[in-house]
Amino acid sequence: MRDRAPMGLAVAAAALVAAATCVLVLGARRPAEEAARSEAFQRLVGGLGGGSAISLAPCERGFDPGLSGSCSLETAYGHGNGACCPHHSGPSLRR
Amino acid sequence: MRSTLAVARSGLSAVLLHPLRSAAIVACAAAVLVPFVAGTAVSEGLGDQAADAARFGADLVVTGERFGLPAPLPGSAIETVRRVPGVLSVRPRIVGTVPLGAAAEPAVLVGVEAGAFPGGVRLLEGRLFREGAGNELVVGSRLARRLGLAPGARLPPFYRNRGGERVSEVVGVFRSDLPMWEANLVLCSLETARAVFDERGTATELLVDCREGEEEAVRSAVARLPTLAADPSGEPLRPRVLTRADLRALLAGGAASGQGVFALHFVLLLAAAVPVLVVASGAGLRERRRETGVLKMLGWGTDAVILRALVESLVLAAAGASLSILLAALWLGPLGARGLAAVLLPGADADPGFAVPWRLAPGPAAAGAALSLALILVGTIPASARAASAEPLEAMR
Repeated sequence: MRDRAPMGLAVAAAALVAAATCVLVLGARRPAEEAARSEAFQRLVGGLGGGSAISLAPCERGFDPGLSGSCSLETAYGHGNGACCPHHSGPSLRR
Repeated sequence: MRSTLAVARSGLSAVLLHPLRSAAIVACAAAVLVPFVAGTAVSEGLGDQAADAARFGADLVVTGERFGLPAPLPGSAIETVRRVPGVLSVRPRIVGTVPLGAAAEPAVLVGVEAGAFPGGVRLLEGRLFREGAGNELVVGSRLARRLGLAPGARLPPFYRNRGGERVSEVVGVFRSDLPMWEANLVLCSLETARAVFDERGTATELLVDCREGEEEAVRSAVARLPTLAADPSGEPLRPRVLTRADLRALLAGGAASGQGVFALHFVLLLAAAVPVLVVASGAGLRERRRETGVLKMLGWGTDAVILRALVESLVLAAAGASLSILLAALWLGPLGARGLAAVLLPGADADPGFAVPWRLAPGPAAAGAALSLALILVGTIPASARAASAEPLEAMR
């Protein structure tokens, strides 16, 4: 009797790939409700944010790059200290 | 063709022949890829929301500079800019930081003119502040949670003002599924913001809307103004003008830089994970050589042995990559990016308390899948090829 385990594995692998593809396709689209809320919020506050931080401390540029032309840490203590700003260094999306 | 299919089928058998080893390889591949897929998804989501900030903001943002640093604009600057040909409207805005609560939470206080607020979309629990009503605040979801605030709550004076301080009332709390910059936001009227910062008639920036097609002309005209100071003969207050295109470029440049830093750190992390994956792929090498020797004795050619190993690697890589996508979506969706937000977004807690933006991008997912396959092949194919090219008796020893 032929062993069916390899075919079972192939089916399981195909199902896993299909599930991941579905999640990828669904997750790649931005929900319309979220886009509408984002638009309404930005119209309310006049266009705010854009950085990866949720506060203005220690530099406002990390919260909204349009608020300032430079990093407050850099100008407060001398040039080059912008590299020490947690909003502009580190392993993340900090900008 | 039938023999090729039979060889490929034996590759599936090879996966089942060493279940623990196969599970370890899939788990290692997923462990390496999940942070990458999740991190790039957060970057994509953040980019979408940042693009909205530029798209739905004003045509121009005018700020003042003194000594090359931001300086507040006097009330007279509004009229100065309004007189520039092509300007439709000028709205002053105040953006500042104020510590709130015993733990001095860094709230972002934004004062705007009470005007026509966008309808049709529910943004908050409670209501917006009323025009003319002083010290009415709308607070962000994270701030409200940390300080235990709800609509109707009262805040004792949290600022100093030469004219005296007042108790403030929270009239609304933003929904947590808004853009993440609402998290620490305190939205109020211009008058309330001026009272909090003890300013008289000033603003931190002017939001300027222009006639269509005249944005560049207005930008040039405002940038050429000698000063925005109330007294033209006094110390100059230079205008700094950002157009929507300038802001988009700033945001895009920041995003590229941030993603580049993230990718670089991921590559370094991968360099540490590669030995683990290679060892996991190469584990049981002696058994693999014996298997290969038996296959060679049965008349298998070297290319058939390598095809078998290739099919085995493909199945493991596909499983690892697919699992990483599913786990990343689970982490970002139902689990709300717990733990990840604190690493990627400055100021966010391990349990962020706001909706972390994310959008799975096919590019990074495909790159992750290719990487998974490459890593597994590195551990599998060379060993299989060496065993296949040896004499069968030598391989079985």
